[in-house]
This record gives sequence, structure tokens and C-alpha cells, in this order.
Amino acid sequence: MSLDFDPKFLDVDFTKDPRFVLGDLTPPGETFAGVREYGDTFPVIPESEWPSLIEAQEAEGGGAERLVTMIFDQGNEGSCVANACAQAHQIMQARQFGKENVVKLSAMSLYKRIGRSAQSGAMVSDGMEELETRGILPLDTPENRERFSHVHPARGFGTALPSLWTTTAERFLLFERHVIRNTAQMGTALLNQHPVVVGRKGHSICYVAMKRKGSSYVVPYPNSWDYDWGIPMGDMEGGFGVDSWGNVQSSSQWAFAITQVRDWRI
Amino acid sequence: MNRTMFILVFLAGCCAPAPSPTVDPVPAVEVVGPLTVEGKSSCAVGESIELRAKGDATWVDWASESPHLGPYEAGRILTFSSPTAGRYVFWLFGDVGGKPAKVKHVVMVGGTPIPPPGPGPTPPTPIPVPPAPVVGPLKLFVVYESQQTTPEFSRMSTALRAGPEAAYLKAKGHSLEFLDPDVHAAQLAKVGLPGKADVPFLGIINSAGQVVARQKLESKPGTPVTGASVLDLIKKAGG
Repeated sequence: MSLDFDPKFLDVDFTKDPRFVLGDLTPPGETFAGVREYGDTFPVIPESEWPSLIEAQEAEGGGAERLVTMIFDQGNEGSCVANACAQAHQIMQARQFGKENVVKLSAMSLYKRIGRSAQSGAMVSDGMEELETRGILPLDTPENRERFSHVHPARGFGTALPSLWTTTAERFLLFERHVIRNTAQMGTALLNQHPVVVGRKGHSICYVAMKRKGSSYVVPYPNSWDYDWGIPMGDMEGGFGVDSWGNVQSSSQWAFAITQVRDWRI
Repeated sequence: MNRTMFILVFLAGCCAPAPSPTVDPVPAVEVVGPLTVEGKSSCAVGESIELRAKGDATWVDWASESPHLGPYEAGRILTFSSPTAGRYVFWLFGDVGGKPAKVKHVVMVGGTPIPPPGPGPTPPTPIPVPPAPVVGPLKLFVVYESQQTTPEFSRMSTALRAGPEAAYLKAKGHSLEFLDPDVHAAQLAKVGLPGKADVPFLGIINSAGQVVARQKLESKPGTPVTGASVLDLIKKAGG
């Protein structure tokens, strides 16, 4: 089974899109010392096995793109890193607790702690570290306001975090993450349906699956540019872009796979 | 096979742990071979009943956890009575045409004890009613080690979360949790599914809080564990 989509959304040059705001500031050559590599925990799957595993995945209805429950919208702020991190967190929530139990998250509640200004951008490693140590707040929705003491909007760098916000944010901690350092680990993580936060051309996105496109592979990602950008996928009416394997290879120099999040219900 | 060996083999089967009552709701007779048992499958406390071996066996013998047995006529007839209500399993085994055969018979003992004989009409023997199966939404637990995730396990979990299997579970009102014992040990102990030795496994809890099934999710060559195969296990447990 091969993926068909509007080629306009393949290997998008983010910098040429009017919605682009420089957001990922991760410097080249970053080593991410102290973070466990994906391949140290999860056995790397030989590339020779990828085609049959993708075929099995498609035969069973698809990959983790089906666990995406919303498309984020960063507006005109440089918060793509926080949006990609929040998207990955929600995907793991869907996987661990069920789509009906996913709590929508406020990317801005994370970005405020890793960015210097609305347009400054941030580093993915900082986003991961903050998620791991202090968590993230639920999105300000009527449903979340009823359930949680603290919520926060999706956008608006100038909006202060509510007092004592950490008591709620820590219920949404990231429990396990791994750094990816090569395409073998990237392919393995995607076949294991772990969401992977990457940086590419100053923009951060969340890879969710690996598909066949002819004799090569492509990787879809839910972007943070709202539903009216991109192609439909999973339950979403739009919002997805697709990277060819060439772009994925360059994104695989470093990336972060989220492998477990805290159960906010207990 | 000599008779002693034959009985030992059968007794080994008989002594295996009994399945949970809600999984095995009184299968009165289970036949493996050309032997049958004729007799009641329910009686009152203290009532004496006869179970008769039927079939062309050269010899027969009985096995049961109940001590209240009285075989006679070369074991072809077994008398049984019990002062205690409950579910009693009997195995009849024998040799029919040189081939081993066995049959399972279950007697439910319950109701009011038989009064001693005396003047006046004997009240009708109440028919014991087996406990009604517990109905209602199930709580399903896939217990797994998050750091041993494989593509196959991931496909299965996504199917149960986002595929037609997920829609089925939702329509039935069942809840599904994926729990890592390293993180959720207390929660698992609370529902009676402790341990991480044989992960991944599926635990099924009924609406009365009873564990009705615990099944290791183990793929075999050509038969991977999929969302559909897990759903089959759930359906077999009454889901």
C-alpha cells in the first residue's frame, strides 16, 4: 500500500510559507549528553524488515497518525518546538490511555519557559527537559477548566502562567524520552509508533509514522499550522505534511522519541 | 498404557487448577471418547444421587475432589452426596476398545438440606440455581513493559485505540488500559493483576471486580498478536 497525497505538501520548504516563524534554535552538532539513545533501549530493526512491517501496519489500518487527536495552531509565534512536544505528548496519551481520555495541552504553557520572547524560538532539548521536570498545562477549554485547577491558552506569550501552576503541570510530565541519532533508530522508533520530535530548517514538527512511497519511504507529520494547511490523515481533516526519506535522513542526526508519559488520572 | 499409568495421566488433568467459575459456567458434561455419565447435574445438600458410567469400557474408574464417593458394581455406579453446597467435578475414565476415554460431569449442590424422613409430605427438592453470569462493561488491562515495545505490539495497541476494535470496545462500554507494572504496580495489585513475569498479558475484570481471564499475549509463527486477535479473546470472555 502506498501513500497518495498532494505533492505540494511533500518536503515543504517551511521558510517559504507565510506561516513560518523561526522556531527551532537547536545548534548543529548538539550532543545531548546524558540522554539515552533510542537504540540502547529498543532493539534496532534491520532495514530489510521495514517493508514487511510497514505492509503489516497498513494491513492493520495504519500507524500512529490515527492517534492524532488535534492539529495545533501556533499562530504567528515561534512556538513550534512546544507545539511539536505537546503533539507528541498527546499522541502518547492516546496510545496509553485512549483517545477519549486525551487532555488537550497548552503548547504556550511550555514555550513560555523555553523561549525568550514570542518570536525567539527555542531548542527542542529544552522543551524535552521542561516536559520531563515540570510538565505542561492543559489547554484552556471549558472541559479542562472544569477538571483542572490550572489551564493556559494555546497562544499569547504575554499571558502569565497561573499561580501554583506546577501542581497541575506535573500531572502531565514526560516519563521517558530517547534521543535518536541515526536513520536506523528513526525507522525503528516510527515502526514502534513512538512519536518523534524533530527540527528541520528552523521549524519543529512531530513525525508519527513511516509509509511506503514507491520504492522509498515517506514520513507524515501533523504540523502546527492549523487544519487549513496540509493534507488530511487519520481522523484529521487537514494539517499533515509529509517528508521524503531524504529529509528524514537529515532530521535523524538528532531527534527525540517520546516513549511514555505520566498517567494524569492517578 | 497400563491402568495405573492411565489413571495417573487422567488424575494429572483432574488436579489442574479449576478455571474461574465465571469463565466456565457449569459445563455439565464434557466428553472425550465414547464414555458417558448418566445422572443428575444438580441436587440438594445431603441428597444422595447416583452417577452411572455408560459405554463399552473394559474398565472404568472415577476421580473427584469430593470425598463423599461410593463406587460399586466395578465402578460402573457412583453414589455421591455432600453436606456442603458447591460445584463438584467428576471425571470418569476408562479403556474403550484399547483406547483411552474420559468424560467430565459436574454436579451443583445447593438449596435447603434434605430433612430427615418423617411424617407428612416431603417438600419438593429445591433446584439449585447456578450463579448468574456477571454482565456489564468489562475492564480490560494490557499489562506490558514499555521498554520492550515492538512494532507488532504497537500495531495491536493502535488498533485497539483507533481501529474498528476500538469502536467495538466503546460501543460495548468496555474500558481499556495499557499499564506498565513498573509505573502502575499499585493499580494492578488493586485489580488483582499483579506481576510482570509474563508480560505482555491481557487481564479482563468483570463489573463485579472479578478477574475472568488472564491471557499472555504471545505471537506464534504465522499468528501475530493483533487488535483483532485480542478482541477475539475479549469476546470469548463475554465482552
